[in-house]
Amino acid sequence: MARQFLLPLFLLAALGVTSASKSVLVLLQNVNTADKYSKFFGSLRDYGFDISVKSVKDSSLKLKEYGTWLYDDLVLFAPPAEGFGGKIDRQVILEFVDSGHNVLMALNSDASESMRNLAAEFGIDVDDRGSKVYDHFSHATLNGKEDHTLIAGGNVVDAPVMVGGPYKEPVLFRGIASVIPGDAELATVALGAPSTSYSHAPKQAMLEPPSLMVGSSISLVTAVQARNNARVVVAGSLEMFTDDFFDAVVTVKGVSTHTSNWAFTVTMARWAFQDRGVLVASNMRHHLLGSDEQPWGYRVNDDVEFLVDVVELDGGVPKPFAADDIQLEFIMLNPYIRQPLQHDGNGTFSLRFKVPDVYGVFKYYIDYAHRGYSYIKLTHQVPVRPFKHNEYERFLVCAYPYYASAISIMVGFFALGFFYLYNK
Amino acid sequence: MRLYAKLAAASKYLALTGICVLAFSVRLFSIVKYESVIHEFDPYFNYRVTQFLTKEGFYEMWNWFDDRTWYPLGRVIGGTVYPGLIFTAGTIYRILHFFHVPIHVQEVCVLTAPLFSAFCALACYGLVSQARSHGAGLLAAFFVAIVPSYISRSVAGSFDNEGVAIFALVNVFYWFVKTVNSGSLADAVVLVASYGYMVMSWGGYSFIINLLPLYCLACIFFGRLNGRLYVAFAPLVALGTAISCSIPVVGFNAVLMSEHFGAFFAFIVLHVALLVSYVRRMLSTKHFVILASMVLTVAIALGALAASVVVAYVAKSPTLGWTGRSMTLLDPTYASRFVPIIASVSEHQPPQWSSYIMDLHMLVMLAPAGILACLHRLTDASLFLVLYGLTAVYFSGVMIRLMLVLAPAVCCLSAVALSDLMYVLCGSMRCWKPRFTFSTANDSATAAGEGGGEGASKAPPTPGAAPSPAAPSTKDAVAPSTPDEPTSVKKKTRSRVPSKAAASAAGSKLYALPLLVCGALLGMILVILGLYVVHCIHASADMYSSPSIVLQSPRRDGGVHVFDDFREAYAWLRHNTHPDAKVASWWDYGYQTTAMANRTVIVDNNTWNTSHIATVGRAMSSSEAKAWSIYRALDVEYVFVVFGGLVGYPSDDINKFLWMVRIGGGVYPEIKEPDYLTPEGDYRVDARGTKTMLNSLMYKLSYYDFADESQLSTGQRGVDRVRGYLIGKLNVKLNYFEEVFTSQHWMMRIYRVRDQPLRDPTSRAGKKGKAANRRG
Repeated sequence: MARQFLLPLFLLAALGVTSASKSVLVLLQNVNTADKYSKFFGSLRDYGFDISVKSVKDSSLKLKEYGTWLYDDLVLFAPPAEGFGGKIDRQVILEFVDSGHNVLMALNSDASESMRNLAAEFGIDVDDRGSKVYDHFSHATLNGKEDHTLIAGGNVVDAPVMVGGPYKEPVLFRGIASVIPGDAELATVALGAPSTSYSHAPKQAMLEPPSLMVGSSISLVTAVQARNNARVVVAGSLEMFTDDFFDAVVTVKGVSTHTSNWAFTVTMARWAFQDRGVLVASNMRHHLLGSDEQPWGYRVNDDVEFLVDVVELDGGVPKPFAADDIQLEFIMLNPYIRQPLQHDGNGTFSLRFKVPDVYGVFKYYIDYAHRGYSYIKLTHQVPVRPFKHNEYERFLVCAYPYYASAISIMVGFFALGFFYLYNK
Repeated sequence: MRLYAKLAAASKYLALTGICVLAFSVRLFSIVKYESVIHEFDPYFNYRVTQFLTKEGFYEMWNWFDDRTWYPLGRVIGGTVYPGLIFTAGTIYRILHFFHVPIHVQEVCVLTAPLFSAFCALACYGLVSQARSHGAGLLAAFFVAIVPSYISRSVAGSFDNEGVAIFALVNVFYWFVKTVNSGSLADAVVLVASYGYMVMSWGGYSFIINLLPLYCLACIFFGRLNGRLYVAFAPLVALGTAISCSIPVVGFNAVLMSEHFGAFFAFIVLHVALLVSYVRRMLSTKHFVILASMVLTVAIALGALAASVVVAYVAKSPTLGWTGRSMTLLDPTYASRFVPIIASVSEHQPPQWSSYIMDLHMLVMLAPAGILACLHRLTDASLFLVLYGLTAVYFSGVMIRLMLVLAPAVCCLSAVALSDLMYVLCGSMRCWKPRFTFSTANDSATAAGEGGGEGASKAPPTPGAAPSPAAPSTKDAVAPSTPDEPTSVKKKTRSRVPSKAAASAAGSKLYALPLLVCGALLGMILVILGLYVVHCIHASADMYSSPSIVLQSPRRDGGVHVFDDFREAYAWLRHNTHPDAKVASWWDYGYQTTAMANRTVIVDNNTWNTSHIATVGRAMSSSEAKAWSIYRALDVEYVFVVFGGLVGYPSDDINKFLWMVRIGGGVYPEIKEPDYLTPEGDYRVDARGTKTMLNSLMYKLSYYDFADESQLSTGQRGVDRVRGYLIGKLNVKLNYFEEVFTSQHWMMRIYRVRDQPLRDPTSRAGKKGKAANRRG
């Protein structure tokens, strides 16, 4: 029992230690421009990230050495880069993500084909090179210069764990549009475009009828959480991470305002680097009511209790998670039970239920995918057996007539036999 | 003379011992040629359950809920298995270990069937010696000991229900005939017990519970009703039904299914007939006629009512209260029309006529003569043999598996025929050369007769044979013709032996054959018997000893190629996959997978859930993407197919594929058989095969990467050596499955069901390597 509790604690402790010194590799088109993002990187350093900035063409670049990943996270602030220096290429980056690491990409309208392809690997279609997002209504005026590509009316997704907020000031954006497929499961529009916007490449003739990315189907900043909980954020604008945008005072629809870029981008980056919204489920256990031991399986109609501990890691610090929408399913071909788990405020989620009157190999199944949080996917197989042959009820009252008839027949047979045999 | 009698008895027992040894040892070819290994499919399940039984004990096995088969349904083993064989092997194992014989349970299982075939020879001896004579009994035991049909299901390693069930079947018949002959209540008790063992052992018990009522009705019809028949039959129906009810796999079927109604009907008729004969004895003829006409009218009315109730009950169920397998027996076309899962099993097909010659050899010729011989001098017991033979012939014509039931019947009938023939011949010889043949004839007579019985004591004073036994013969010949008169037990036992001696003696008197003819005929019989032995040994050694998990094919230099692919692949699964991994295959390989690879399977040879099997059939006949989602829904991690195209192993999954389509289509209408056949209705996997066929998962898994490999072996890309032509699509690409193992001769190919991709690339990225479907 003690070991059951110790193990998750140990795991949490280990997580806490590692998250304290997460190393991030930042690739810039030109290392000398790093100062433009000093506030962004400074905030990240404040949150405990160990940031190393390199040029995208640096010939000594490598993500992996002797089978170990050198970095936890990768930041690609080099939209026009056609390729990478050193030992990094698209395949390595995909491998990086597939092994559970995170990528933050910022693009702009000069985004190269290779960046576009990389985004496509995460399920994001970025618009053609040279295109920009325009909005003639909700744009901002910066430094007295009205710019219809400086979008200020973006819709921040309602997922505080992912993007922070709610924000009163607008998030400034200037860059390229992207879309995600309608049936995308893994991608979320973190910052959606205003409904009056559209994407257009000014140097190209507009098609007739226009086949544009328009309105709210445009995603400005897209967050992807892969099935292994690796996170990828693709922002269509590199400028939104700059100090200029952080400090800007803009006029939107005649109202002068600060921007929320600083808070938004840093929160987004922390989310991307799994510093926020990480759920850890552990210590899954189940038992019959009235017993503490975890049985091999159940009998039909048993009363059982299922428990699981879920903690949320925020900045590497575990704290109890609380939600009402974690569902437990008890499945054999179909779910026989599908109920939300109750939580006790200390991160223990539980459900008491009666095992259905069907035998078979059931499995507990939790598939929790709440926007902004890492996925919880737990399965545990539990056989449910029928009654053993000696577990049925016996000597039922309603069966007394049958007992009586059987016994009377036996007695009668014996008496008759005796009579005929010995009564000559 | 006592010495002769004792010698005769001794030689009889010696012969029986020899026959038992022969029966046992002729079945050991499989061990000699291969190794001591469990054969085929079903035996692996029995072996696994026996292992469980010896490890966990009786009650655990009785309550066993197996979560490693039929995932996720599971299977209640204790309630769905005929436990006779398993208990038998478990008991043997326990006994041996009690005496500190440290034998492994596998060896016990391997040798159970040969052991019980020796017992079966003894039971046959008993049955025929009850029905005719001890000489005929010895012949019958000899025949059944080596009859190929029986060998085919009872070689060492064939640890199947039939291995003990055929013994149990003949044993029931023996005790039944013995009880009918003796009328002893003790025999009836043994009969019921042996019937209980039969019900425990095999579903074929329904043959008994239908044959015995048939015999009972025939006896009533032919006026052979007597108290002995009642003693034999009535307890069997009453207590036997109670016993069957307490065996979980039968349970209430014993009173609910139509297969058992015949017994109840005969039970009632028997009582009515006894009542009628009782009343007839009480009343004068005139009164009886009046009463009979009164009762008859009432009875007809009541009977019509009862019949309509029964008909209504029976008609309520779609199969008229019969199980699918029994319906197949009554209507041989039933299965192929309605239950593809029964029709798909090769042993449920009707046999070819050649298999009768193959499996029974000369007995096929002798058996009809045996029926004539039995009818010629009809006794209660020989009537039973006739009925057994006739019904068994019909059933064997429906299902090749029931050749097994026919085999003992044919052996018994042939033995009767042959022994009658020998009596005639020997009698003739004795007639011609009394002095010379005296001792041998007497010897054979005693050997045939009961040790030191009347036959022996009667023969010596009349070496000239004929006249004196004629007197008892007439007396005894009358006996069966007046069956209404209750014959005492004692008289009956006596009447048997002289009657046959008398017949042969009478024959010799009237139609004594020339010595030369006798000698020639005897010689011919010996030659035929010799041929029979040669044939049986050949059948046992060369045809029925293959374990089917290890295959051999002769090489040009006289050696053999050994194909051990199955065990190789199962061992791979056992060593390289997670213990809880689910493995999907066609149901044929389910038992082997659980027993040898120790992995959870989706379906197995216990075909109790058609829709589950249909799901697997549907997955195999669907396109790759759809199959992937079906398998994912079932938590399947590995899929394997058996493929014979590289080495020419004909019973592979491609050849079974149409059954998967049919069974799948029976539940899921989107699978249509014509989609898999060429427009001409042929089943082909070459360029003329349909698109659905060439895109099915079965085709892809079988022929993945096959073209290059076949180029190495045949010199031409994509030539399938089973089908004998070029396959339809050479470059098979798999997107949702990945090959993880292929055995040495490609007979078993294991694939892993790919995981859902970690990321969902858009179509733009899809140019490079398509990943799996998004939805699970």
